[in-house]
Amino acid sequence: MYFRARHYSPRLGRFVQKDPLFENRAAEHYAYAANNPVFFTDPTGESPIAGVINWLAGGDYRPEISDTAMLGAVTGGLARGTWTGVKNVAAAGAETVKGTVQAIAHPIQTVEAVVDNAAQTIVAFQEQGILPTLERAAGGLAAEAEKDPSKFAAQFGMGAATSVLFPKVFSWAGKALQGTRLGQAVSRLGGKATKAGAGASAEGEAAAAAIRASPEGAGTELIEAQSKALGRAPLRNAAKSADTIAEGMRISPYRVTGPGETFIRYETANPAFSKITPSGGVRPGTFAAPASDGLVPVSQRVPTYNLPSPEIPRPNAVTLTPPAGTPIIGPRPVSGGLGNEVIFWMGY
Amino acid sequence: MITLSQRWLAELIDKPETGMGYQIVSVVLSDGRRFDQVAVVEGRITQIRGLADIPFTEEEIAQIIPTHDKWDFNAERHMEGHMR
Repeated sequence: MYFRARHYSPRLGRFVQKDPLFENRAAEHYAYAANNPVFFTDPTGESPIAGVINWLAGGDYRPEISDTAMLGAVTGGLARGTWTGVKNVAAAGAETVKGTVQAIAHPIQTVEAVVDNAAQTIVAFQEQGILPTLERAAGGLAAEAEKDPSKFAAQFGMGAATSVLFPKVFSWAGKALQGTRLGQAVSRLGGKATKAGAGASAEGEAAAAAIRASPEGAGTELIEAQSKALGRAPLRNAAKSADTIAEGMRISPYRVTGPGETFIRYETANPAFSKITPSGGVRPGTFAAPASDGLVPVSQRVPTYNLPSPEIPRPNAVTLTPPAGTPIIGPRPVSGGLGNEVIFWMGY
Repeated sequence: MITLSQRWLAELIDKPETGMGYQIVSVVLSDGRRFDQVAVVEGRITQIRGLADIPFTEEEIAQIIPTHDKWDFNAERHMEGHMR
């Protein structure tokens, strides 16, 4: 499967060439979307950045448009040249994006708990004085979302990714980076990112077409409008894009948790495989079930969780109460099971 | 069912789950064979979609790649039941 900058093997779940933008990142050369396809997408094969746009809306709302619509909107947005804003931070890639998002979600207090390379990025952000800028940006986004969630969601899908929020957030970060060593590195790679963005229009169109053709149907109006705004005729490689979406690369609905919101985690009986941290949080990439999801009352839940292999049941139902504002993806139906599930993609 | 050694466990525990308590991975063997949609639960390879048994040993594994390519486990289980 051709992803513009390199080829992706659906069977392997990996790219088969190195990421041209981040050739010095040995561990992630061939990974798709930083090994986190639930959250990230990687439409060009060069950066798992697009999916992050969704989450940047933050706030206490749930988008009313479908996840696939969001993908189309974001991808389409890239086609309109938003890389001019993105390129300032594109060089730092997944680390920067993860760090940015984490910084917005849990500013300075959780720096020590930030996972992997994101921690280094946030430290760098602190050193460069960028965190206050990001916090202001996040606050503005959340305020807009609170005023009129559905309108904001639509605007976000349509316009934010293209010309308003995205360049603003990232150009602020870019300005703060100017003159720094990181900024110089960004400049060197900015040209590559711009080229990638310039070639993204077909990808955006294809994604929009695939969404229009999807049986879910949600987001059709949004994508129609997006296509109209782009002034593009529909989409010759829709089939390719539909395949992409079908392979599980869709962005899921996302939101942040509310105060006191609880989740149920069926934990392993073997502590060696526990995803719960000593501090009572969970590791990044941990799944749980919302305690009240409108589908299966807590009282009717199964006493044990045994997917995908009934011979290995997880009998220990643990109640999780993440701090308000913890980012989650979901809820969405459990594949082959009952009820809904969410993923704490950054842990807490 | 294959119980994975610490070498693989350390790698997998840091990767995101596919669902609550499990990961779906691709397994590449040292002889080049590859098995997709392999379920790993609690450090054990429990099943491969479409296969009744696991046709390799832990020593043959060269690479384990989380793909999160899950399927409707219950539907296929019921289908197998009808076929028997």
